[in-house]
Amino acid sequence: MSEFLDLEVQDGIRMPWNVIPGTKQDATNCVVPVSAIYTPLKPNPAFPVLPYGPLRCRMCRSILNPFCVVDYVAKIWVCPFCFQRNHFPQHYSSISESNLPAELFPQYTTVEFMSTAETGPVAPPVFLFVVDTCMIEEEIGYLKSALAQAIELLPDQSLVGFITFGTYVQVHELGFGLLPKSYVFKGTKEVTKDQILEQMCFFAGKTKPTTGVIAGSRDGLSTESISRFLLPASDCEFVLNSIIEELQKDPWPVSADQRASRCTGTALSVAASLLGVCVPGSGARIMAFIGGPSTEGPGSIVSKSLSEPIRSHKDLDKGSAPLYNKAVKFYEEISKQLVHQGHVLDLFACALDQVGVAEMKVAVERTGGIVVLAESFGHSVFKESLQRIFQSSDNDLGLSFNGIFEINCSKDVKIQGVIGPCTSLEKKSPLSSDTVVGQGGTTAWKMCGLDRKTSICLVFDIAKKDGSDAISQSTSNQFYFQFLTYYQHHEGQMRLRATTLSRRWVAGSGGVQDLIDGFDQEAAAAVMARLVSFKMEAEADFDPVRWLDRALISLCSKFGDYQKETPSSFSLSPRLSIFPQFMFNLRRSQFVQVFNNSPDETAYFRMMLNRENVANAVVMIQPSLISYSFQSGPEPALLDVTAIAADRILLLDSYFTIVVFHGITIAQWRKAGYQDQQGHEAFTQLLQAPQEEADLIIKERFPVPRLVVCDQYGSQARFLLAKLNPSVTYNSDNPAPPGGDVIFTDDVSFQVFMDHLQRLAVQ
Amino acid sequence: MSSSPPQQSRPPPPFAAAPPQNPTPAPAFPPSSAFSNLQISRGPAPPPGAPRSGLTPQAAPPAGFPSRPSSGMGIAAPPAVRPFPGSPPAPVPPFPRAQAASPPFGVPPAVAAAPAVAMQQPRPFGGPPPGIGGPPGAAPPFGGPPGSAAAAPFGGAPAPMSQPQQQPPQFGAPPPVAMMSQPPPQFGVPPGVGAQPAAPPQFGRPALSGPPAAAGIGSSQAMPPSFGSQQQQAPPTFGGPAPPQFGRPGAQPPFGAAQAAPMSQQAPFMGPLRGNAPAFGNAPWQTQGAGSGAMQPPMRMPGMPPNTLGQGMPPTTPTMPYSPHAGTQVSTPSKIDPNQIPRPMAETSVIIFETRQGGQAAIPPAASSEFIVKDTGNCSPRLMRCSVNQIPCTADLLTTSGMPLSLMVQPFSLPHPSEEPIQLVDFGDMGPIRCSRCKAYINPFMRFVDQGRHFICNLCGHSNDTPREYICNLGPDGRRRDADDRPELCRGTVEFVASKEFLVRDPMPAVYFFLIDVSMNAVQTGATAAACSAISQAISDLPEGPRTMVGIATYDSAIHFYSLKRAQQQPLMLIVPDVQDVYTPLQKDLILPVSECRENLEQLLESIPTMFENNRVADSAFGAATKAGFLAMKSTGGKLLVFQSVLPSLGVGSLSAREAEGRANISTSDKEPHKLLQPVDKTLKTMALEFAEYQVCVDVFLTTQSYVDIASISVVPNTTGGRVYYYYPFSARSDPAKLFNDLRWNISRPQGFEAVMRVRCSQGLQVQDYFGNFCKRVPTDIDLPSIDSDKTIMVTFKHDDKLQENSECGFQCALLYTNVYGQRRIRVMNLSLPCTNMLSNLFRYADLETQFACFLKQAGNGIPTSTLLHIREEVTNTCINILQSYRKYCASVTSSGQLILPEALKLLPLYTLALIKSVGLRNEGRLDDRSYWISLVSSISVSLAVPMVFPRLIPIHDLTSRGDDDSLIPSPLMLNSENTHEDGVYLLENGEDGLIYVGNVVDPTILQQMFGVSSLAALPSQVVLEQFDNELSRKVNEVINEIRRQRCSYLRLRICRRGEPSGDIFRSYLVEDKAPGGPSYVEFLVHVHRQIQSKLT
Repeated sequence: MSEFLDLEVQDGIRMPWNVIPGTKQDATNCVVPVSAIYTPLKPNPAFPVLPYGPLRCRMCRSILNPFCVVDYVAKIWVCPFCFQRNHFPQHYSSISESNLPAELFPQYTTVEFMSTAETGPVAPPVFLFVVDTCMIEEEIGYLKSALAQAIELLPDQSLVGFITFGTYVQVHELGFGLLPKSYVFKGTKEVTKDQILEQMCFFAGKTKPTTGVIAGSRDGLSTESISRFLLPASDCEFVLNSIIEELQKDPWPVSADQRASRCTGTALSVAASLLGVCVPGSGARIMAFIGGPSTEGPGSIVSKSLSEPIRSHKDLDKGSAPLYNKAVKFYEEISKQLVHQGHVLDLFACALDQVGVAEMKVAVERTGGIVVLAESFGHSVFKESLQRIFQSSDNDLGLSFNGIFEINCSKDVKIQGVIGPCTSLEKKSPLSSDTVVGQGGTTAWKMCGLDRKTSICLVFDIAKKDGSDAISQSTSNQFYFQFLTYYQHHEGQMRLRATTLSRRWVAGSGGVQDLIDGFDQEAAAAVMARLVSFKMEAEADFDPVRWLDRALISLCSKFGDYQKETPSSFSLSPRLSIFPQFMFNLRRSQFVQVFNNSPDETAYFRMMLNRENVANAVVMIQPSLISYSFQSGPEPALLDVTAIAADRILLLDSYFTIVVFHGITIAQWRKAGYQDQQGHEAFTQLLQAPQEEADLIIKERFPVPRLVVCDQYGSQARFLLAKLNPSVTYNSDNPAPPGGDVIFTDDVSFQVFMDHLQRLAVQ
Repeated sequence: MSSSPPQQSRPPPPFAAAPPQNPTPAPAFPPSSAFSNLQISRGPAPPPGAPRSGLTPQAAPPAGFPSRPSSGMGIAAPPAVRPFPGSPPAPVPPFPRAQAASPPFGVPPAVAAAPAVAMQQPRPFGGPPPGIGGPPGAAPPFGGPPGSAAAAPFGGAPAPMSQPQQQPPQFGAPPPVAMMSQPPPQFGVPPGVGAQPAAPPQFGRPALSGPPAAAGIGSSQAMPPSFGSQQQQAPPTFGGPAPPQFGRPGAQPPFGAAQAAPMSQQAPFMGPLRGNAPAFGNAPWQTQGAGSGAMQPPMRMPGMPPNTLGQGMPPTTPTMPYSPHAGTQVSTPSKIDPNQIPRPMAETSVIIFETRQGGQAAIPPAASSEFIVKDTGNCSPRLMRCSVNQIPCTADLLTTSGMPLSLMVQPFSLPHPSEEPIQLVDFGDMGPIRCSRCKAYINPFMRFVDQGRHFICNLCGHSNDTPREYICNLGPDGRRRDADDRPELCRGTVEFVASKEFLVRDPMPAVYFFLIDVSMNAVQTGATAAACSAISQAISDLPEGPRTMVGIATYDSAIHFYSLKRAQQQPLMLIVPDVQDVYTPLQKDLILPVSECRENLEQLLESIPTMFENNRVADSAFGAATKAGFLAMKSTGGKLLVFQSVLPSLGVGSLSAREAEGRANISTSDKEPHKLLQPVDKTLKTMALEFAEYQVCVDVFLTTQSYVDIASISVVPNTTGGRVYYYYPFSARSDPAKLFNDLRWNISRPQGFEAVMRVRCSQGLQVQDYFGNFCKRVPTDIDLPSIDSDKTIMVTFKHDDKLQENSECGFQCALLYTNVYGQRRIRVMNLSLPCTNMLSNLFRYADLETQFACFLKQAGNGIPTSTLLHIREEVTNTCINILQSYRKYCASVTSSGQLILPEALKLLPLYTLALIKSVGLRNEGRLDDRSYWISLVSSISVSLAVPMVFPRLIPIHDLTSRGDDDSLIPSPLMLNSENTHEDGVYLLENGEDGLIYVGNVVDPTILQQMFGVSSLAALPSQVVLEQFDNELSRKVNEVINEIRRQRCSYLRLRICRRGEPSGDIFRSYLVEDKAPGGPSYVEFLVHVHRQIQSKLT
C-alpha cells in the first residue's frame, strides 16, 4: 500500500492497476478499468522547476524524459512513445552521462518548465464577482462582510470586476469616478457578447470593425474601455467597498406566494461575455455568490410560484422537472463559452433551499471551478472557504488558470476519456479511443481552473489484441504515459508540468498474481466511485447498485481464492481485502443513494468527488471513524454502530461533515461541567482531543467541512448514525449492549453483504 | 334679464318698409359705388337705417330696441333695461351725457386708470384665477429672459378694468358701439352729402345698383371719384390717428349705454360688428352697404336691433362690384384700392360679456379681443365657442352655407383676472346629478317640472326623477327657487367633485420625468447644458406638495437613469443599454417626491453637462428613452418631458434622415412628397397609445440643428396630449432663455391629468369627430393624459335629424380630470344656442376666428395625406364656397360684378390667403418646419389661430415717440412691404416666433439703444434682448413682454435683415405682398370674385 503512496508523492498519480493487464481481453476481465487518478499540480518541493523550454519529439511532440534512450555519442534520443530518433539541439551539446539535464534524471519523472521567453508577460489574474441580491437583509449582511474581507485579501495587481443581480443584472462600472454607475440588463433575456460590445460602449467614438474577432486589448478594444469594468484591486478598493457597503436587497417587490425573481443565468451569461470581451484567453474567474434558485430568464430552474416545489431526484427521474433540461443546456452553452475564453466559474451557493447547482454543475465542472455549498452566507463553511481561496498559507489552493492537459502514451494504450473538472478539446488522434468515458475523444483537455488538489481520473483502453505481442514484446513489457499540463501559475507566469510514467504489463492467465500485487484498492474504489457517478448521470435507467454488485462479484470471482461452490472457502488477498467494504459503503454512500439528498447536494458531492485525490475520495466513500476514550488513546474504530459506547467520543470524518459524537455518559459529564473542574483535567483533554483533530482536518480541507458536535441520542447524532454499518438494527436478534445504539433501518449490514458476496463469487 | 319680452321681438318685418327707402339713395350716389370694388355687408342689416337714426330716433328705437336687447347680439342687456328708458329723451342729450358720464373720449383718463388697476392685479398671462390653481399668482410665469429686466414683464396694463364695476350697463355696450355712436354725425354726413343729414348717405352709399352693371364696365375708371367721397369718411373711421371724435376705440366703453338713441340707431350697424368681429375697426367701405340696400330693399328698419336672433336678417349686402368685366379687369387689380380692402383692426378696449342675456345666448366677442366674461348660463367663450352662434336646423342649410359646424373647446383656457373663478360643486357620495339616459350632467338648461320632482334633459329630452335630496320647489317663472344659489343651475361652467364612481384608482400624483439627450451633438451644441439649466431653474415652479414627484434620465445610445434616493450620497447612475427592448432598472427610487430629492437633483443637473463633456456617442435613442421613461412612470402616469437634439438613430422607434432620402430620390419627392410628412411607421404611434393608456403625457423639446423628423416624433406628444417645442437652429446663446420659459410655463400653467372628455349635444346633432392632441379609444370619448390651458380640441358635428326652429341646441362638454393637487374633478361646460332656419342668420352669427381655426386645423390635418397644391385649393374653395353661398342666397344683387362679403366673414379672404402662404402650406420650406407647423396647429386655440398665419407687425424703432396715451403695443401695421422701411425696426410676431426686422439704414443710435451694438454689422443674428438703460430699450422690452403675456409664449426672437435668408423669412410673412408662392391680397380678392362669378353663372 505504501508504495502506491510513494508513487503518488513522486508523480501525483495513483492507478488501480499498477501492473497493467496487457491485452484488451485481460483488461476487460479485470473489471476495474485501467485508469489513473492524476493530480497535475500536486505540490512537491522535490520537483525541479527548469528555467527553459522542453525538448520535444519531432514525431509525437512528447517531451524528453528519463525513459528516453539517449545516445550520448550521437547526441540522439529515442522517444519511448513513437520510437522516433531525435537529435539534441545545439544547447544540449554538452550532454553526457555525467552531465545530464534535469529532465533526464531518473528520479525526475515529473519536472516543470518555466520559460519566460516563450510565455510573454505576466498577466494578472482577474476576479469578476457576481453577487445575488435576492436575499433577506441578514444574509446580505453576512455576504457583505465576507466580500469585504475577500476584497482585502485580493492580490493588489489582480483585476476586479463587480456584477450584482436580482431581477436585473447590474454591471458596475468601477472606473467611473463621478457617480456610482452601473449598466443594467434585463434578467429575462440572454445577452450576447456582441450586444455587450455594442451596448456597453466599447466602441464609443470609434467605428466597429466590420470583420474579425473583437476581443481584449490585443484585438480592437482600447485599454480605457476595458478598464472601466476591470480595475486593479488596489485602484478600485474604495469604489468596491462603497458598492459592497451599499448592497441592498433587490428592490423589486416579491409577493408572499412568490419566489424572488433571480436571473442567475443571465447574470452569469453577462459575466462570461464581459470577460470574453475584455480578457479573452487570460486567466479569469467568475465568482458567483448565489442565495437562491434562479427563477427568471434563461437558466431558471423553477417557476416563481412557491406552490411549485424545486425539482427533486424523483422529478428528474420521472422527467417531471420541466425546466431542468433547458437550464442544463443553457449552462452548457455558458461552459462552452467560458472554456473557449479560458475562464472559470466558481459557485458559492448558500441557501437553505436548492439554488440550481445541479444545473450549473456542468459550467462549474467543465471550467474547473470551485463550488461551495452551505446553508447560509453566515455559515463558517462559506466564510472560511472564501477566505481560504485568497489567503496565502501552507494550505492555500494555489489557484491556477488556463490549463491545457495533454497526454501521450504507448501506442497499445488508448485514452477513453477523463472524469474530472476539465473539457475535451476534441483533439482527435490515434491515441483517443472510440469508447468514450467522461470527456473523451481527444488527447487534450482544457482545464480553465485548476489548483493543487485538482485530480482528474483518466480511463484507458488497452488496445493490444492477444497474439499481436510480437512487436511490443520485443521492445519491452512497459507501457509509457506522459502527462503534460500547461497552465498559468498563480503567480502569473505560464508553466508546463510534465509527468512521465512507465508501468509493466502482463498478459495471459499467468499474470493474475502480478495484477493482484499491483492492485491499489483505494484508487480502485475512487475510480469506481467516479465511474458509477458518471454512469448514473449519463446513462438512462442505469442501476448503480446492481452494476457495482456485479463488478464486485466478477472481481472477486477472478481474483479471490476459493473452491467452487463453497462460499466458506472464499478469501481475498490483502491487496483486495478492503475493496468489498469500499464497495459496500459506496453502495450506501450519497453518490449512489441519492434519494436522501437534493439534486443540488448530489451534484455538489459528485463535483467534489471528481476533483479530489484518492485519499479524500476514499473518505467520502467510507468515512473514517476515530474513537477517544479513557481506556486508550485515539484509535480507529470500525465504521459500525457497535463503535458507539456511552463513555466514548467518536470523531467521524465523512469529508463534507465532521462529527464529534459524545457518548451519553461523556455528554452528561460535559453538561455537568466536569471539564472545568479541578481534578478532571483528563476529561478536559479527552474532550479536547477530538476537537483538535477536527480542527486539523478542517484546516487543510477545502471547502471547509461542516463541523457537527453532538451527543448520543441527540437529534444531530443522525449525521453519525447515517454512516455507520447497521449491524444492530431495531429488529436485530442481538440487542445493543448497554450504552450502545441501534439504527432504525432495513438496510443490510456489512455482514449480510459479505455473505451474499461470497456465495455469488464462488459460483 | 328676466325682462325679455319675446312678443316685442317681432317688429314688423323690416323688409317691407325698407325697399322703398334704399332705392332712392342708391341713385343718389352712383358714382361712389362705382369705386368701391368691395363691399362688406355686415351681418345684420347694415346701415341703411343707421343714418336715419338721427332723423327718427324715437320712432325706430322703441319698436326695435326693446325687443332686441335680449337677443344675444352682444349688446348688453343693460341698454335695454336702463338706457332705454333714458334713451327716449332725446338724441341730443346722450351725447353730452356720455361725455360726462364716462370718459369715453377722455380716453387718457381711462387708460391712465387702468395701469393702476393693473398694478394691483398682476396677471401672469392674464393669470388663472386662484380657483383654478394656476401658476402662483405672484410670479409671472414667464420671467423675462434671464438678462432682462425682472420688472413685471407681464404685468401688462390691463385695460380699463375699473369701469366695468362702475357702470356695468354702459359697459355692456361694446366699444364699437361707442365708436359708432359718436361718429354718426361725421359719419352720417359725408362731406359730400353735407346737407342731407337724413340721407343715409353713409350707409346707403353708393349703390352699385345702377352703376354696377354700368359702372362695372365703364365705371372702373370712374371709381376714383366716388371713392374720394368715401375717403373722406374713411380716414376718420379707419385711422385711429385722425379724428378726435373717433377717438381710440378702446376708450369709449361706457358710451353706448348712455346714448340710447344713437345707439339704437347705430345698433344695426354696430351690433354685428361688435358681435362678430369687434376686434376690427370699421372700415369705411362698410358704409357702402347701402348700395346693396338699393337692390335689396328690405333691410333696415332703422330701429331694428342687430341682435335679433332668429329674426330674419336683412339680406342686406353691402357689396361692391369689384369689376364688371371681371375677365378683363382682373389684370388690373389696381382698381381695388389696397387701402380700402378689409383688414383687421386692433381692438384694445375691454368688453364685459355676459354669456346669456334675457334668456338667450349672447354673441361672444372676438376671441382675440380682451373681454371679461360673466357666466350667466352659457360657458365662457374662452372655454368653448361655436363656429356659428346659431345652429342651422337642417343639414341642408349647413351644407348650403359652406360653413363648418364645430366647437372649439379649450377647457383650461386662462380666464381674465377679473372673472369669477369657476365654482366647485360637491354632491358628496351621490355624485353629480345626471340624466339617466344620456348621462348628461345637470345644467342650467335642464327643465324642472312637476313641482321639481322631475327634470327634463336638455340634450336628450328624457324625463328623469329628481333625487329626493335635490328636490326644490319651482318659482312662478318655472325655475327652481334655488336656481340662483346653485352654480350648477345658473352657471354655464361648473366643476363637480368626482365621486367614487369616477375613480378607477386613487387620483394620480403630479409626476414629472425629465429625459435629456446627452449624445455628442447635444452636448457640443450646448443643448444638454441648456436643458439641465432650464430644468434646474424650473424645479421651483413645480406644484408644491408631497404629491409632486420628479425623476430624471439621460440618454445617448443607452439610457441612464438616476436613483436620487440617497439622502447623503451621490445619486446612483443606472444604465439601460438595451435600446431595442427597454425596461426600467429599478421599480422605485427613480421617481421621488421633489422635497426628498431636490438637492440631489440640482447637483446632478449641474454635473450632467460635465459628466458627458467628452461623450463620443453620436447616436441617440429617443424612442427607447421615451419608452423607458414611460415604464418608470407607468404605475402613476404623469408628464414626460423629453429634450432631444438629434435625429433619433438607434433603438426602438429609431428614424432615418428621410429628408435627405427624399431629396436624393427625386421620384419619391415628386410623386408623394407628403409621405415624408407622415410618420415613418407605426412604432411610435403604438408606443404613444400605450403611453396614453397609462396616462403618460409626452412633451418633446427639440433643440436641434438638423433634421429630426418631426413628422414621426410629433406622433408621440400629439397622441398623449403633449406638444412639440422646436428650437431650430438651436443656439446656445439665445435659446436657453426660451427653453427655460417654455418649460416653466409647461409645468406651471393650469393643467389636469388623466383626463377623459366627452361632448354631448342635443338630439338632432351628433358629434362627428374630435381633433386635437389626445388619444381616442372609443368613438365617444377622448383620453387626455394631460390637458392644459394652451390646448384646444375641435369637435365637429353633423346632423342626424332636424332641429326645431324655436328651440335651443345644447352642447355639453364634460372633462373628468385630476388636478395637480391630486383631486379628481369634473369640469362641465354648457353652451346653448338658438336654432335657425335662416341662412342669413348663419352668416350674421358666424364666428370668423373659430371658423378659421377650424379651417386651419383641417388644413393641417390634411397636409400629410395630400399634396400641398390640393390643400391650398381646398382652402381657397372653402372660402369661395362660403362667399358664394352668401352671394347667392343672402345678397342677391342683380349684378354679379360685385364681390360681396358678409360682415362677419369679411376677413375670410385675407386669412385664407395668409393660410395659403403659411409655413404649412407654401411650397418651399423644410420638412421639419412644416411638420412642426402641423403639430402646432392641431391643438392651437382660437385666439392664436389667426396670429399663427397672420402675424402682427409693429414698428418698434419709434416706440419712444408715441404719445403717452397710446396703449402698450402700437397698432399693428398691414402686412405688406410698403409698411416696412429700411430706416425702421419692426417686430413681427405670430405667437411663436418674433422676427425683428432691422432695416439697412437704421439710425445707429437706435441699434445702440435697442441692442447695445454700434452698427448693423455688429448685430448678431442670434439675439438676446437685453434691457439697457434707456427709454427705447425699456419700451421694447415692455412691448415684447406684453406680447409674451398675451400669447402665453416666450417668442423665439430672431434678427432679420434684408439680403439675408432671415430677411426672406421675414418677407414671407408679409402676406399681402405678391410672392412667388401666392398672389397679393388684391389679386387674391380678384381671384375669389372671379371664381364666385363663374359659379354663379
